[in-house]
Amino acid sequence: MSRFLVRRMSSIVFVLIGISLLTFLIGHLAPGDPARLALGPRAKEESVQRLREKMGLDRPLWEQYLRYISRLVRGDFGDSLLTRRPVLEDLAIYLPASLELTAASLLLCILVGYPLGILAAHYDGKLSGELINTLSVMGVAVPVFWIGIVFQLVFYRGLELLPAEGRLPIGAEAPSSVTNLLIVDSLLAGDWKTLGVVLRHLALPAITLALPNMAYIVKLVRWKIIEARTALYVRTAQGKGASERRVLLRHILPNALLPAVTMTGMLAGAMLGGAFLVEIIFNWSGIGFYVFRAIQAADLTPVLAVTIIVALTYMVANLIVDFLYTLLDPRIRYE
Amino acid sequence: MKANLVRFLMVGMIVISLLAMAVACGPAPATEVPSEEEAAAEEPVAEEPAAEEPAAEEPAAETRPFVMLASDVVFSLDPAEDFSMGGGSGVMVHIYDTLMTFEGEDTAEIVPVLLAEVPSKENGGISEDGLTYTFHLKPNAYFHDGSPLDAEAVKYSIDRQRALGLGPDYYWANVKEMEVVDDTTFKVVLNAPSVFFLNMIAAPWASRIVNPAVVEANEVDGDMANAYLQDHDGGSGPYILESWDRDLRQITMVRDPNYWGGWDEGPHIDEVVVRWIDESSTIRSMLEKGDADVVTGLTYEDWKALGETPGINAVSYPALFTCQIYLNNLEPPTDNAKVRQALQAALDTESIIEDVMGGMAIPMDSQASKLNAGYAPANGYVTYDLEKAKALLEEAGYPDGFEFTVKDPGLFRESTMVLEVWQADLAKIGVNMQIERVDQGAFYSALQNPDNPEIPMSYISNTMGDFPDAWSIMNYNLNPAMMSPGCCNYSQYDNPRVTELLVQAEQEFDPAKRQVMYQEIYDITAEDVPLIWPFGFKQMVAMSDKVKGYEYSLALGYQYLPLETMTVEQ
Repeated sequence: MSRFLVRRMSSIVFVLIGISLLTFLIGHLAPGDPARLALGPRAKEESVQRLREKMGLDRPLWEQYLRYISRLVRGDFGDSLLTRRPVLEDLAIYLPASLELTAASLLLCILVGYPLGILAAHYDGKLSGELINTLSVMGVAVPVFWIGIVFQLVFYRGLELLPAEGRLPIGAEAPSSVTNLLIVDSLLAGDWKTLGVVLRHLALPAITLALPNMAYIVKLVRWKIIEARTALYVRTAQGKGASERRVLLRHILPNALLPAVTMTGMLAGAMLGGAFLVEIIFNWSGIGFYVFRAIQAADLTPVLAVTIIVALTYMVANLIVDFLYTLLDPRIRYE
Repeated sequence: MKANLVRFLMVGMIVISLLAMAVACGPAPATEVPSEEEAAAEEPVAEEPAAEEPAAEEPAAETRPFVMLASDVVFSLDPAEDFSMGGGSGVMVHIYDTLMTFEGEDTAEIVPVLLAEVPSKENGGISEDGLTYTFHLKPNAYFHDGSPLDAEAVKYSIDRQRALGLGPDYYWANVKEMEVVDDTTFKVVLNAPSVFFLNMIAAPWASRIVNPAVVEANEVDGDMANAYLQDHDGGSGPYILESWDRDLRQITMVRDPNYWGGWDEGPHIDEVVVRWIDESSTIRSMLEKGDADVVTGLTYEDWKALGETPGINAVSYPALFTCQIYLNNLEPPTDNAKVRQALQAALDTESIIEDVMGGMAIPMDSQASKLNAGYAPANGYVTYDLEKAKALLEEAGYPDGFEFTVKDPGLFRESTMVLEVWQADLAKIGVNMQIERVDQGAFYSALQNPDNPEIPMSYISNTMGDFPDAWSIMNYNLNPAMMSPGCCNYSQYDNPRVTELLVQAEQEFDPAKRQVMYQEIYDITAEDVPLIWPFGFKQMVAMSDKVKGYEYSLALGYQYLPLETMTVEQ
């Protein structure tokens, strides 16, 4: 197992280097002058040139990349032309917001998606099963921005139950920052009131982000369970007198859940990097919004940083999934 | 067993859902915005908020901060760095005082702020040769920390701005030297006389005076406190920057009761929160529910719906921003003035204003919009006439039309629709116009490439001058010194007589003589049609009808609120 871990860690490093190089090249090959965009069309060419020199944009590409990598290994992601701040400081603000949103949405996907998928399989062919199936199709088909706006209209304007936007109410102060994760910081401060407020603000964006992804899990779990029911090993177990519960828990689920667990791991990375629309609708200051602005401004350093973080998330999630495989399927062992 | 398992799963899901709802839907804490009763309105959508007397004799207690929602993004609050059209400048105008500013809803008069009076030749503030300006400051101004705002502080601020070179230094480009004469007097000597020097430095970004003590105390590695001032206060204005919560996308300002300029009797807005939200529907919902007081960044549809909502005033004002379609004056077929006239004659601006812009635009009939000082209609301005357009094409030697491409960098929401209307009419006269959507960043980088600028055949844009005088926008668009890779004569227009008039106008202090020059430029360019002006924009604002004292500022735009004189009824 330790050799497996070493191999995987090494592969993570190589993949990250490859991704950073690819993103770097694509970013520099794409047309656009970041310094000119940062200062605007009316700025003097001398000012633009000065900014280019300050950001190292006038150096050869290979030199820029080597400088970037040498700073990266020291934890320095460089400076953003757009925000005029170190990218690391920007990430300290925007990444926790995305992590909270992703974690909450993923939790919903798991806690609701898996049971719904099992229920859909159990009631397959019956009204309730078809209802769950139809709802999951809708979850995939309906655009996430539509879901978000409808939720705002219903829960904020109509029922006045939940806030429309933001991580905290307008004018509110955040709890003392330790992690910038408001849930964790509230817990650390023992501030239950703020925790409640934070969770209220998180509810709509988390559910909006979770719904389409949850729908995928429901469909996959349902399909795999139905498929597994016809397998020989299931009939063998039934023939040997195993109870329905035992057949489901000991035989069907461990086999059916493997693909769903894989998908859940992938969703972690997808949600972290792909929540841009949800962030816009709910004014959630996450990395999706941050990197979108950076792309518009041809500001490469934030794009590189977020790409690396999302790639790392995918790889770590896959690593966790690989470990879960060994729990679900005793035949799987890594050396 | 099967039934038990199913029951177990369903109960489990219900319990989880109930737990989540119990936490999420619990009672709102005290920091939440309390709900307000919506006032019943009897008036339909108003073009302007009703003029109101100042509020009651006793100051009313505010239940929450004054909330403004906007859609721009702030990147820096350093006065030497912020060059934004909305976001940052709308906040900084309250935190930092400037030497002068513009005032007026549909005109823009320069009024002093820190200065005792605006210099002129009549009061001796401008030398006869127009090169030396003498500025006298009000003697009682001071920064938020109590240190005096004197001539040394002003010179320090301007020198810092020019040294950092982050954008706003542009307004001082014509300055040869500055000299402090005494505590309240300083002189500026220009490289060349310019009647518009005061207009330039009255712009919102030009002369925000920063506290030297704050700069010196927070300078790091020679950055002149740029990093510190990006999100800290260093000003003297009526409001103090309390915080900028980037993760919450909000800035909080509090009123400075000791503001050197004093406060009128009566209630004032003590705390202001500006929150940036990109989604128009969210902004609209929050104003409707009473969680915001003034909002901008709305789509036309949301603004119109708000205007029909009781308790809300939705107002619009003509703005200095205009739409223009540049035509390459160097390459065929648009190097031919008759072709350019034909293209303008095929543009149905009335239809575009009504159907595409929903009435949120004003027609153009000159090289500058009606809102600029020095505006006058151009004689011989080409108007919509497809028959005339066809005839002009024949005269130009294109009886069968031609093909050309208009690039659309998407600078405003309706840009493609504007071009599509034009495209349909051009097709009727045999001109095949293609619309090419381009990435904004890549497009401008190519256009302003210092070594090899890529000049398109045509592209659609929006812009405004540096100050509300026709000369500014004309100089940008018509002066060959502003050709690519510079900004912003993107049509590459070069008419020696127009250039001569622009140079002369800049040095003509007599407004009547200057107006004669402007008129000649209008008339020449009406025939030359270096670029096409589809319309001028209107800006939309919506607010609770409890907000009193709002006045639009033509020069500062819709993101600016005159907080110092506004109140909110309780």
